Order: sequence, then structure tokens, then C-alpha cells
Amino acid sequence: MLAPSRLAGSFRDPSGYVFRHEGIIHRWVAREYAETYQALERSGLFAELFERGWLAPHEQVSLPHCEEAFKVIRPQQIPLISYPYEWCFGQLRAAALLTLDIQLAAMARGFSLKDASNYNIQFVGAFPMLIDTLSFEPYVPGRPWIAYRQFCQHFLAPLLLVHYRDVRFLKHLSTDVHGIPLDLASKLLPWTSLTNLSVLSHIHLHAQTSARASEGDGSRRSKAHVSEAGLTGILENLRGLVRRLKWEPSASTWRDYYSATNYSDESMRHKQQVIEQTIDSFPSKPTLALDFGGNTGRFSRLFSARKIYVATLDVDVSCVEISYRQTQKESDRLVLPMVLDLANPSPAIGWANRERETLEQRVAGGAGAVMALALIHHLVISLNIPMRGVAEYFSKFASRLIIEWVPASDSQVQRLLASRILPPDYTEDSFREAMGQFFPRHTATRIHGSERSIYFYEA
Amino acid sequence: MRNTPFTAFIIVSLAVSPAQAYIDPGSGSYLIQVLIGCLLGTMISIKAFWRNIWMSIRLKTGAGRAGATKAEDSASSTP
Repeated sequence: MLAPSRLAGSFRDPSGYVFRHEGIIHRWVAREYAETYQALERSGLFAELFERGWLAPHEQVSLPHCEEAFKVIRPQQIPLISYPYEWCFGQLRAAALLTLDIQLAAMARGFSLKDASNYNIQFVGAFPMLIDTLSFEPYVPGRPWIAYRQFCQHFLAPLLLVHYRDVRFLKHLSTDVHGIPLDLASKLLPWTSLTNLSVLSHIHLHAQTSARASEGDGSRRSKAHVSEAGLTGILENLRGLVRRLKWEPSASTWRDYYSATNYSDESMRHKQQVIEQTIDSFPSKPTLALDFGGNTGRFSRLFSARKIYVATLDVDVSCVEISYRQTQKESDRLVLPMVLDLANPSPAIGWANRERETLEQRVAGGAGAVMALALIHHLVISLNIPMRGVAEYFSKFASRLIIEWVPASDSQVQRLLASRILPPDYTEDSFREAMGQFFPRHTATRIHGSERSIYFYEA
Repeated sequence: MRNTPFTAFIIVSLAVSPAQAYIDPGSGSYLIQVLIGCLLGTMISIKAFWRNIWMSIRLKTGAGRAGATKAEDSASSTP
């Protein structure tokens, strides 16, 4: 029977599990893991990984009803959990490289990662870190890496599919919590990938041997041998391969939006000023803001400039990639770019549809503010989502909403109407009525030199 | 890869009892690691071997050159 507060997705590892106590995430360390845990501390691996920022630091705590645990630790809290299918190419590659770096560092101190799941990595701004503190086991020289196949399925296969084929493969990580199967990746990759010896080995031959190997014969067991030098060579080879993989954002309507819009410089400055004043008017500083349709994060950074953690969510992976590269360049710990299609947000997946949560479940109404600039017309006109539905959805995330009203006469709307019909209720009055059902109070400011207005709604 | 007795032996003999792991590594994954690891481990060992040879040569050359310089200095200082 699972403990009442155990997170639904934390059940696979017998070494411990994650639970919530008074809203804070903690990790239960089982007695069976005691010896390894103490060895990890003595080896200095924890200290090294903390110092490098590669592992979420933790402190030991004492909680009631936890007497049966060896230890309970409180790790650094992640402001917003994101999943690999919500990452851009650069984020997945950074997570892959970190996993390999950690494995190499662990081996140098006599340990090895017992799993290489992409769900073990989380981002705090631009920085990926391992969150599964109990993911280590003693390294026995000569033993193969138990997580090698998982690494290839969770990281290498999707990265290769983006490099060789199409960036849209990234979101297909949501179809299987076990990553991209090796045989599927092998079939989908072009024949030219066979000319790369690393890809040939780690994916194609790996898929062949996995398909033909006897998986269930436990009657004859002996030790396979991979020397430490050999395993190090494999890891370095994987590292070199992942580093060489590339994907470049292509020119897109959204990415060029801010350079080809109906905003004059004066309008843009005024819009920014209105949003800044709105954020500054909050009675208390929120811990999290969500910027839906945030493009490359220009306006998201109005929150981060005020030390508010903000997720920039956009359907265009090119925008997210560009935003991520900017956060990397600035070593930004406060802006988290994420891919999210509002018309089809990330589903809840895994066992009983509870291992990985929807964004709504992860935020649980705890965001301090939601922002939706230059978005309403796309949702209502392009995607035919009712105005009321948009308001209801946003209300599930926060009690404050900064939203831009884009009238039918706007040039961007006119472009949409070239191939669509304007919904009869697409009026400012209908907009106010729909939003007002979930956010009773509002103020509105017309942007100078523009027909658009910024509305600030509060529940 | 044909299912010859030798291959079957290799594959079955690759099963390893995991210590604290809970994921299924797959025997095929171990086979690939053995094969790739053998190749890469050999390359690393060869690299390390030649690097040591090269370092030895450089040290000896450097020592030889230093010895020759000392001899030249001694010769030039002799009236």
C-alpha cells in the first residue's frame, strides 16, 4: 500500500521514494540503501556533484511517521517540473550530456548510475540537474552499465531522430515513458546513419542484438565483462556523438513576430511599461509565473527581472530553442522555456495516467500570475476554442491574469481571416464577459498607437 | 546475427545479477557493450601505450639535449 503522501509516479525504485509533506517534496531513503548512501557520502561524490551544480543539493530532516526510513532528505525544490517532451532539442541534449558526465564522475569515485531516465533530470532556468539522489549503485569494475539501453532510448534515439529527421519527434516522447524503442529508432533513421560507426553501434546493432538476445534465460548466469577503460570509452564515445548532434531553428512566423508586427517602437515600449507596472502592483511577489504563447520570452523576462521564476510556454519549438539559448548565454536561473501546445497540452501518462502529470496538475493553482499576450485571437479564431473555455483554463493556474485583447480589425487577425471565418462572438464585450466569469475584477489599458489593450484580471 | 551456438553462449553468458538496479538492462545491451567496450578499450589502451612511449622519448631526448648542451658549455669554457 502506498503511503498517502507518496507521489504517484514514485514507485519503481526500491531504494526509496518521493513524497510531499506540508507541500514540500522530500525523499524517503530506505534502510536497504543505507550502506550505499553512507558510502556515497564518504566517497565525496555527493559533495562533488553539489559543487558542480549537477545534483539537486539536499539536507537531512526529521519528520514524524518516518521512523522506518534510514533517512529523510529534503532536496532543493524545483520551481516547475518539466518533462522531456516539453523540452527543445538543446535542453534534451544538455540533459543527455549531464547524465554522461555524472556517470563518468560517479565511476571515478566507485559508483555508477543504475538508471539513465530522462525524467531524472530537471531544469532550473537554463541549468539541468539530476534530481534522483538515490540513482547510484556501487560500480564493480568489469560490469557493463546497466542503464546503457535506457540512455539510448531516453536520450540518444530522440536526439538522433531530430538530427537526422524532424524536430517533431521530441514530442513523441510523451507516447512512451520508456523512451523511443531501439528497433523503432533504427527503422526511422535514414540509411546514411549507418555510415556513422557510433550510430551504427549504439542504435542499429544495439537494436538487432536486443531483438535477438535471450532475455528470460536466468538459469545460466555468469558475469559479462566490460573493462573500466572499455566502459569509459563507450561513455566518451556517446558524449562525443551527442555533442556533434545539431538542430537549428528555422525562420518561423512566431520567431519573426516581434520584428514584423503591427507594433511601432512606441507601442512596444508602452506595452512593456504597462506590463511592468501591472507586475509591480501585485501585493506580494509570486514564486511562479506562466507566460502562455511567450514566444522567445521577451515579456517573460519582465517577471524574471523582478526575481520571479517564469516559464515561457510556446507551441513553436524554434522559439523555445532560441529562448533556451538565450537563458544559457545569460546563465539565467529564472526563465524556463518549455514547449506547450495549448490546443493539445501534455497529457498525464504512465501507470494509471499518474506517473507524469499535466501542467495543470503540476501547477495546481499555485502560479502567482498567468500572462497571455497576443494569443487570444489564435486560440479563438485559429483553434475555435470558446472564449469562456480559454478563461476557465487560465483560471486553473492562477488568480491573476495579464491578457492582451486583439480586436478583429488588427492586422494579425485580418491575416488569419484570409482563410477563416470570424466567430460572431469575437468582440471585446464578449471577451470581457467570458474573462469576468472567472476573474471578476479587471483594469484595462489601451496600448498607445495600437488597437490592442492589456487587461489585468484578478479573481 | 545468426543464432549459432557460439552466439547463444555469448548472449546467455552475458546475464548479470543486478545489485540494486530495478530496470531491465537487456542481454543484448550487454553484448553490445562487450563488443564496443572491447574495441574502444583497446583503442584507449593503445593510445595510452603510445602516449607513454612518446613521453619517454621526449624525456630521453630532452635529457640527451641537456647533456649535449652541458658538454658544449664545458668545451666552450675550456681555455
